[in-house]
Amino acid sequence: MPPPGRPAPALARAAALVAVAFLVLPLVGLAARAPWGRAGDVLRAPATLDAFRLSLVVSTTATAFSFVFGFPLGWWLARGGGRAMAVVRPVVLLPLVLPPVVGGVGLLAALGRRGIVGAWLARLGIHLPFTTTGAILAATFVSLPLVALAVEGGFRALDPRFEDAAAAMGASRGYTLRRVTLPLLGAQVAAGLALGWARALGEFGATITFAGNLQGRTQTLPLAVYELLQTDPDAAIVVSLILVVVAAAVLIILHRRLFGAA
Amino acid sequence: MSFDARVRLRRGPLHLDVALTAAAGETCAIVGPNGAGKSTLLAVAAGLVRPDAGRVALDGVVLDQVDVDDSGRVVRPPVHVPPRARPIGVVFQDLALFPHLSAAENAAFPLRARGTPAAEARARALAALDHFGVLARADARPGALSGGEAQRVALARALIAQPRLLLLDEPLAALDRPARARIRALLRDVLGAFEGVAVLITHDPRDAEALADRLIVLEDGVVTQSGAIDDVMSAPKGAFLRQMITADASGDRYPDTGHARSGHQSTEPGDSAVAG
Repeated sequence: MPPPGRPAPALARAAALVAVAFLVLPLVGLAARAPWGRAGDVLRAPATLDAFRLSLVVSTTATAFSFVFGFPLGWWLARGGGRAMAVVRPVVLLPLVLPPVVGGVGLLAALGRRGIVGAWLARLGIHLPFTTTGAILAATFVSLPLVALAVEGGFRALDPRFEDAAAAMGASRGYTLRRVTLPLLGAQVAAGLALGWARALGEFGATITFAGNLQGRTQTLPLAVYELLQTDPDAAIVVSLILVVVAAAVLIILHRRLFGAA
Repeated sequence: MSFDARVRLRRGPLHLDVALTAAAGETCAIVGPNGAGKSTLLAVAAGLVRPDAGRVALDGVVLDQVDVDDSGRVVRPPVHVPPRARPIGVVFQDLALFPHLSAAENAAFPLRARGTPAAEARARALAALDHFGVLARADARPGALSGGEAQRVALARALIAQPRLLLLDEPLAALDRPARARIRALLRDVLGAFEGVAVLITHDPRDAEALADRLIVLEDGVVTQSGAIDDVMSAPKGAFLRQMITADASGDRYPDTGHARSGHQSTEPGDSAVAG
């Protein structure tokens, strides 16, 4: 790494402080307005517990899907080469910059009852919109690209000599993947999964559009916050704080993995 | 029992066209300037790179065979034995020890990859590390090893599965001078006792003289001189080899000349355990 160079000038530091204050302010607001006395009741309410449980199921399942398909995708992006990547890469990046609600509308148009694939699925008796599976698909749509990109970065940083060395020492492709490639990619993959999981946990737009807001089936924590905000704003703050705590936990894990190694 | 390779290969600017033969128990050194194709030739022997044309055989078993007609078209289905199915041991340039595995796990890797049970593989790995004088470092990760220690672990790993062909890519280049002398003496013992064919890439004529029976000079992808080591060194033909020997004799690159030529003994106590 290059040396840090000259310290930032005072004006830049002042502006930076404003930025930091702006980023911290909402968290302070949440903590200040939280009805701490009612927190226990809100957390124990059936709707909150349902949303909490469902959020864990949806984001964890979505992360598992993101790994199963995002790992090969990242591998291909890094090692595929060829002209196909000129098309594949933007397709993978698009969900990251797309407004999530558009993703949800797109999922409806594709997998909804009258969607291009959904109509065909409906004939087989498979209905995805407004189901937990639908919520999982919506979350996967936004978390898979994060996992794939992290894996791609890992593969790009991986010295191919290690895989060659493994092959020259009698290792099959499967053994090399298990004992060499995956362990060497470990930190990158873990970071990708943590980011993907956090993104899936926070998914709102695509979920409410494609899966709706049904308590116990598709109402994850962010959707619960949205609903509570209209009926019981204090409770919305309490549930929001849960999400802050979870996000902070992910950040701590990530920080160790990404920046704490040195 | 021998290694026999005729290899033609185009890779970017490199046009490799080499024939190489070595008998069992022999060490064949390849010297040549950067980009001459030395490492590529080793990669072909390991099966990591497939030749455009030619034949590679070890102990009479064909590892690669690509027959082409005059226009370079492949005339029959090529034979290619993948690296994992070749009885080879490799010490890579910069070693390529697995950074996430301990020294013992690195040494055991070729056995584990071939299905040896963990306990047996570990026992044999520890014995190999002991043989190379690094048993005390068995549980250290490669990042914590000195250059000489890492080199010994790499040698243990390359030899543990009893290969018939040992490939060494600049095994001394990364070491400082004292470690270099010690590992050179160690390698001399290892290669002296090795019953298969050893192919060694080096840029140092002293390494070649100390370790090899035969010398091949590779320049721009073709062999410019080859033969018994003493014959080649005493009558260097090409500009490269002459330059290399002159630079060596003048002592400006390697001022400790003489150690390797003094013969077999190591002056380092740490290496006495490694009798051939």
